[in-house]
Amino acid sequence: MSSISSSDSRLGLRSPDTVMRLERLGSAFPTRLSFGRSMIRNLIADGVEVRRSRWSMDPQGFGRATYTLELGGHTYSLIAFSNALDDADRSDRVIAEAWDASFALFDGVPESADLDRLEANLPRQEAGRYSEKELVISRSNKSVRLFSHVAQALAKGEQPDVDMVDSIGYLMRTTAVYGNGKFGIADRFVFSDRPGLGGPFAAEMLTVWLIRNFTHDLVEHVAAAMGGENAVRLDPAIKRHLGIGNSTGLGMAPFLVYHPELIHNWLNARETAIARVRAIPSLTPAQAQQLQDLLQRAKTHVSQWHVPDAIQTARLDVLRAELSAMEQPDWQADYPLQRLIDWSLSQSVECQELIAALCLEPFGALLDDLTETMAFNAPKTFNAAQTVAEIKAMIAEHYDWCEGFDLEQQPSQQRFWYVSEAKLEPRLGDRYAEAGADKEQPLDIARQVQWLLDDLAGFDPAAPLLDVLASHPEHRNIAKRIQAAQQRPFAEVRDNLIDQSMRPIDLLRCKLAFFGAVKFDPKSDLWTRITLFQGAPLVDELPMRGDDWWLATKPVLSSA
Amino acid sequence: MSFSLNEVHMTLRKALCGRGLAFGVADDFGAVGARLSSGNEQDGVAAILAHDNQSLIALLHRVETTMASLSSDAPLDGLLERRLAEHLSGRPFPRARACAISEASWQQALDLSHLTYVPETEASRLGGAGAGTNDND
Repeated sequence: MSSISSSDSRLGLRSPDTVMRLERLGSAFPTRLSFGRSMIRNLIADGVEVRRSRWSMDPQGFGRATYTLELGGHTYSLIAFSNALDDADRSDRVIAEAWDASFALFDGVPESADLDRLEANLPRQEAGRYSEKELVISRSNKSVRLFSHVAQALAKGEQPDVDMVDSIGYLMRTTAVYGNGKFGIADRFVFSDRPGLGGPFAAEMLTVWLIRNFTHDLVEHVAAAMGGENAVRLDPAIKRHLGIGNSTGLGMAPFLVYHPELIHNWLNARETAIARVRAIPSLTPAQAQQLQDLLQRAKTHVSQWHVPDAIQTARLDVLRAELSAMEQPDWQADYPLQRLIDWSLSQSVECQELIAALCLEPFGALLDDLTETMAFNAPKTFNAAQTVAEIKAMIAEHYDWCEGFDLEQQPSQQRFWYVSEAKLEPRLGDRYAEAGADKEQPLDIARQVQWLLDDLAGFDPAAPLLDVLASHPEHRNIAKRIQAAQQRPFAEVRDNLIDQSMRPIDLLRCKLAFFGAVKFDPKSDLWTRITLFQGAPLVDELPMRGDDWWLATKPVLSSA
Repeated sequence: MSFSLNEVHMTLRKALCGRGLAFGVADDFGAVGARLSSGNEQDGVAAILAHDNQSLIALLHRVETTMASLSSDAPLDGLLERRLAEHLSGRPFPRARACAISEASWQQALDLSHLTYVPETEASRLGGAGAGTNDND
């Protein structure tokens, strides 16, 4: 069993005042600790084989399919339903009510009755009802452009255009992946002790990787039906480059704020990993070569990352210029990674985070144990006997960042987070222009801290917190957070999340990078598309492809 | 109908917020409702919603005062008090799906939850996260 060791505690971690700012969280890159990566490593370590156990599709690709695998002594199945969808109904938003395909990760092998039950519910997603046998549910929409292009090319016996494959990156994108008991599916505790599924979002990552495989099979099926004998299958290199897309909106942001213990564990693991590689005194020739190759790969990946968003484009332009101008790292020097990371501090935040992620990549033996510290399964506790003086001291130590926001100014609390009655879609409102602030979600952490401090001033320093909360129950939420943050310096996003200038997209990118996402494609400050599992092993090549797929680059076909 | 414990916790938390209870208190009683409901023990949603907000705040204060006192063996009367104390001290419990929640109490929780949602307007729909019309690209 691994842990953050006592020797780690002597390492110098980056300060949470640096790490937990929105700009930096919004510049995160996937690392080898990302959940998609660790899930694939678990599959490889367990010798997992995926079997397509059912395939019942009409020539247009509508029907049902199941895939089955054994992991850690348990059997799981992905159940997929593919339906005809009118173009007018194809929306990635939460308020959509129909999708091209719907999925469940099923605990065991489904019987016909299970499939019939799920066929009546899964296509309706949130409007359906589920059982403990369903561990995760999801849905996806086609990238109509790419799916059609790939199907038509394969039907004619040709491979799809590699540039188009690279620029879009996926045949379908998921628009929600639900876990932990939503709509009656299994609670996370049902499987969190099972080998291979214990990590954060491991079951969701397994589901999404299997969905990616389904999209590959689906497009080949449609092409075969169209082209008959002329049709060909996808070149494995192109297939590998076809990840699975995802559209993510505001719903992901409250998750980060509502789970401070979990978020600390994610960031603490990553920061500990960075500190560990900084402490490496010298590299072997093989490690130096690997880092050099990875640096070139990162440059190529970034050169192939193009998005319409003006802000992200400007950041990528700067990043490309910085990487182009950087001097050749001296891999033979003492503490070469510390030198490289220190060099990056004079570059953009995107560059700093990319370099940090790069430096982790070759050191699985040193770092991968940290993935076992990233879940949070312990019960939460609260000590109401703590004194006013003690909670004030905690605020002074861990929440001094809240003092910097002048919440008397209107722009500092311009926005409010809420849930719309329209399919419970999470949204952001303008406090001074829209109704609904009375139903605000408690993401205003800095403001809550300031309000608590104001009210604590009226109490004796020796008074217990429970006396404060008897007359001020509204402070219970922030008091719990303050206690939880005592041993967890990375528990809080250290910015004002209701400020007019706050960009939710920063929160989304942080979480998605921990999933393993690449090619962030912001569509506004409120939502983004991304690609998962680009370059990841296909189901039939887990052992031979291995773990080396960080920041995939456009495939070069041998026949091209 | 059976329920996951997390949906009992989250739904009850929202219901209590909808009834005007502070989020931090509602979260504790959502968790206690799930704890009470676990493994068919009882209808934890009904057990919590039977108490008004002031009663829940007072109950929480009484139990935390008892837990904080030196005479920590002071009796906690009733199942709800005991489960609340166990929750506050983080004591593990056998977790199993909730099967004893009545349709009426679940509907009551959903109705109260609805009070936490902001009514839809055209402006908020267009300003929401997403393409707005459709995503046929």
